[in-house]
Formats: sequence, structure tokens, C-alpha cells
Amino acid sequence: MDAIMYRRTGLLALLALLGLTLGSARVAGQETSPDPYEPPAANQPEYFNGAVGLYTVQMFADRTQVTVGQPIRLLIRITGHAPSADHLPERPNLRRLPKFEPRAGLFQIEYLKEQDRKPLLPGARAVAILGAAPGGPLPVLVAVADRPTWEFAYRLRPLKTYVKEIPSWPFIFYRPPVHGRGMGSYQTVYVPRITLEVTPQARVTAREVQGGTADRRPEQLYQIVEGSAVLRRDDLLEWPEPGALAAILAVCLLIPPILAVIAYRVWRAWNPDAARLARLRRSRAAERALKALRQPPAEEPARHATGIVAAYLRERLDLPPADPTPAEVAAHLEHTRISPELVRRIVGFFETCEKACYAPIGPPGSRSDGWEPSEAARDLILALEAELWLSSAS
Amino acid sequence: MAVVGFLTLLLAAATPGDEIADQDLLRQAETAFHEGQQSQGAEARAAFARAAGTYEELRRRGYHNAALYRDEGSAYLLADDLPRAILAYHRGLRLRPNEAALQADLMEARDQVVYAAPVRFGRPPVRHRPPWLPRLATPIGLGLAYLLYLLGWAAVSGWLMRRQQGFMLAAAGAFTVAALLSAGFVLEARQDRDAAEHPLVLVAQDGVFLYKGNGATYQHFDPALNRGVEARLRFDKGSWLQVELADGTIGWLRRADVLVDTP
Repeated sequence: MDAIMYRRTGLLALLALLGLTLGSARVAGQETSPDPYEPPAANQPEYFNGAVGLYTVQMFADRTQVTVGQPIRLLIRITGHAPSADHLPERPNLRRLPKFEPRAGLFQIEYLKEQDRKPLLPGARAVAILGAAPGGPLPVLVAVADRPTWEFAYRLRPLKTYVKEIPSWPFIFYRPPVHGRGMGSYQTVYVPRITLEVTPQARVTAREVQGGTADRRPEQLYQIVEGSAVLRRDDLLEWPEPGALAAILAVCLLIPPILAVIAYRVWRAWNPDAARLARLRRSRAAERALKALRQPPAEEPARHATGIVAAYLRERLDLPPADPTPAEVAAHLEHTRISPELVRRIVGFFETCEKACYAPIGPPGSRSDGWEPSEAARDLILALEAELWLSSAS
Repeated sequence: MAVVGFLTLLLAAATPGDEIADQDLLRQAETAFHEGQQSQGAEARAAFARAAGTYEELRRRGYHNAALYRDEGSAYLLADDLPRAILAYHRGLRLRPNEAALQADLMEARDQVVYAAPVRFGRPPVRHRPPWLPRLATPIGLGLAYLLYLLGWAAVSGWLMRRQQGFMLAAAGAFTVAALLSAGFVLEARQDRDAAEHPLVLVAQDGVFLYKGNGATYQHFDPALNRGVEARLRFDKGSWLQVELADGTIGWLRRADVLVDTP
């Protein structure tokens, strides 16, 4: 009894081991033998169509001379051998391709799915009617499919006049290993471009629109000048030759300054007293001022000197008649031709006199620091006269 | 009889035949224009085209004035001949740069031109002169500038006599305005001379390409130019013309595709 039990147990163990071994072998076999028609995910091209096999591609357009926006019927024919029913050619997604995508703004593309033909079996006679040109015969595309053929239809509208072609584009498929052995590869077939001639749209005026209103032009266009005003000969101004023009310009530019100098000299000659008086009026002001300064002051010396200098400046430099403050004197003298240094001396004189007028220091006519308003005023007037004479002489 | 015949011949020779013919021509043009105003569609365009052709004949007979060019331009524009309309308006503005009606009509014509691209390519030049700034006729402007120059020197003379600051300020002001006026006229004179040396060229058809060389085998610029696009002639080489567009692009156009402003 025990021996039988041992034999049964051993047999069972052996069977279990065999089963495990076979199962492992089967699993191992699956890992070591992949589907040769499955396109590998590694390094798969971006625009892979999904087709597995070996294919050729053609593209046809029903017209090549269009206006902007006019539709073109496009047919893409893919012919080839598809070893696997799981990976048949799909409709090429033109809108994904760079030259066809909407944001390029070159084409508007519609997919005419109802006109697709897929697939035609070998031996079938394929007839594709592409569409009639105006006034022309009905073009027909005929092919005998010796291999399966897929046809995909599109409607293409060029959007710009500078579109010159339906561009070439890549059709990428996976070519499986031959007889399922070896390595397959992704292959690219470039579909030839189709040259286009795109012209601008015909302009439709408002008058040509059926049911439209009359041409709305501005009213001014319908108003014309009539009569003899139209029968005139107006000539453009013609410039003289450059040499003559330069001579004319030189003469014209020189005449006025010459006349100005002549006028001044004539005026001086005809009005000698007026000229001299104008000069004298100015130097007489200095004489009067200096004479007044030599007189003993009847009032505060600083105020006396200030008044004399202010009167002199009124006559000589048109200082306003009101009692000027140092700031007013400075503001007026800035607009004269007096040098800045002299202006500072004059303003300083007025400031010092102003302080002296309100500072109760010592008897009239003297300062503890020895500053004499009369002398300062005299020096100022002489310096000013000298500067004014120099500037008028130059 | 011989004397009568001789007197008849003398009378015929004394009668100014051309002047009468010109008046009749003008009447024909005006009649055709009015016919166009009364009609519609193709009939109207045909009438306006007849009027425009008659005005053109008057121009060929030597009549040059802003009114004639304006009438001619309006007739061409209403006949849908855009390039000739623009050409006529330019000729009128050359004589009367300040004419507001001509400027408005030219703008209306330019609005009809189809520019195939949103960029500056082929578009007319942009004027930087403010529209409210009038353009003085050259003799008047130059006379005004010279008058100010004279007044300036008169003020200098007054300053020499009276030595007052007011005279000097008046002189400076007069000289400044005179200088500015003169500079403006010099600039405009140079522009006019440049325009005379480089006549206006107008594209006469739609879809005309500007080539990079004087032949269709050269590359061309994109997009194509449509009728009414304005350019300036730089070089004439028989059946090909080198032109410059307002944006500075230089290229070649077929003579058969353009109108050139000839005197």
C-alpha cells in the first residue's frame, strides 16, 4: 500500500513539473516571438500614417488655375500591399502637416469622407471622376488595381495669391520584416507637389450685385468743373539754373544789410544832433550823477547815494522809476549787457546801502568800517560808464 | 470770283480753328459725363470712359490745370479705370498741392486699390505733413520769406539808431521765421525736383509681379501688385522699368503692365 502511494505521488509530482515546464516554455516562447506586423513604438515618426506594408502614393487635382478661395478637388491614391488587416492605410491627415495646417493660413481643407474608396480589390477597375472644368470634357481617372488601392478625397481652397503649389508631403508607413524574419523599418515616400496658379478674386462692384443698391460713390465725384476754367494752361514754376540761382540769391541776401547800414549812416548824417544827443544823453546822466554825489547830502548818505545811482540807472539803463529793491535791480540788470561781475557790485551796493539805512551806527556820513556810500557810488558809475562805452564802441 | 475765293481763304486762315474745336471737345466731354450720371451699369461706365478720353485729348492739346485733371480723374474713376484716375489726380495736385477736393478724390481712388498683404508693400507713401498746415504757393511763400528778411534788417537798422532791445528781438524773430519758411520751400523744391526726375508709375493690371531683375526668369517679390499701386521710375530699359515703391523696395516691372506719367 505504501509503495503504491509513493508511486502515485511521484507520478503526480512529475505531471505537475511537466505542466509547469510546458507553461513556462509557452510563456517564454511568447516573449521571444513578437508580431512582425506591429509597428514598433520606439522611434516612431511624428507623421506615421499607421499603415503597415509597402505602398506608393499619388496625388491628383482637378484644376491648377484658380482664384483665391476657389475649391480644388484633391484625390490621394494609396496603392500597395497590406499584409495585416489591422494596419491598413488611413486617411492622410493633411491638416497636421506644417504647410497645410490652418495656422499657416495657406489652405482651407475639407475631408470628403463620403467620396472615399477603400479598398479596391486586385483586378478591379477603378474609375475616379475628378470634376469638370468649365466648358471642358469630363475628366476621368482610370486605373486597374493590381494591388489594393485606397482613395481619399479632399476639397482644398487656396487662401492667398502667393500660394504657388500644393506642397509635397511625406507619407510614412512601416515596412515589416520580409517573411516575418529580421527587422522592419519606417519608410517615407514623398508625394510630388502640384504647381498652382492662384489669381486674385474678381472684384464685384455694388452695381453688379443682383438686387444690390446702386454704386455708392461720394457725391463729389459727380461734380465737375465746367466752362472755360477747364481750358487753361497753368505752368509749373521752373527754377533757374543753379549758377544763376546762386547769383540771384547772393544779390537778394546782400541788399538788405547794405541798405540797413546805409540807412543808419544817412540817419547819422542827417541827424547829427540826434545821434550826438543820444550819446550825450547817456554820458550826461553820468555827469549829473557825479555832480550830485559831490554835493553834501541833505539826508542819510546811504539813501542819498542810492537815490543818485538809481536815477542814473533809470536814465542809462531804463530802470523802472519806482524805488528799486536790490532784487529788482538785479532782475533788471540781468537783461542788460552789463557784465555779471559789475551787476554783482551794483546789487551789493544797493544791499549795503539798505543795511546802512536801517542800521543806527554813528553820525551821518561815516561808518565804523570806513565805507563811504558816495565814493562807492562814484566808483560804480565810472565803472559802468567805462563798460558801456566799451561795449558801444565794439 | 477769284477775288471772292481769295477773300474766303483769307477769312478761313484768320479764323482760329483749333480754339473752336477745343470748345466743342469740352462740350462733348461734359455731355458724355452728364450721360453717365443719368445712366447705370455698363452704359454709365462707357459714358464716363468717353468723357475721360475727351479730357485726355484736351490734355494732349496742351491744356494743363487742376480743374481739367480733377474732371478727368473723376471720369476715369467712375469708369472703373483706377490707374488713370490716380494718375490724373497726381497731375492736378502737382499744379495745386493745396486743392482739398483733389486730395479727397485721390484718397477715394487709393481706397479702391486692393493690397494683397497687410504690410506696407505696395502701399502709397505716408505724408507726415499735418493736413491742417496749408501749403503756400511757391512765389507767395518765397515773397513772404523775403519780406520778413527785409523787415529783420529794418529792425537791425532801428537798433543801430536807438539801441533798444525791442528792435533786436524783432529782428531775431523775423530772421527765424524767414529761415524756417525758406528751409521748408527748399525741402519741397527738392521733393518736386525728385518727383520730376522720377516720374510716377502706376500698375495697370491686377496680379502683376515685381521682379528682382529685368526679366521673368528672375525671382519676384510676393505678393503680386494690383492695379493702382504707385511707384517711381528709376531706370528705363526698353520693355522693363526699374521702379521704387513707397516702402523703398526696388524691382522691375514690365512696361506693358504699367502706366508711366509722361508730359
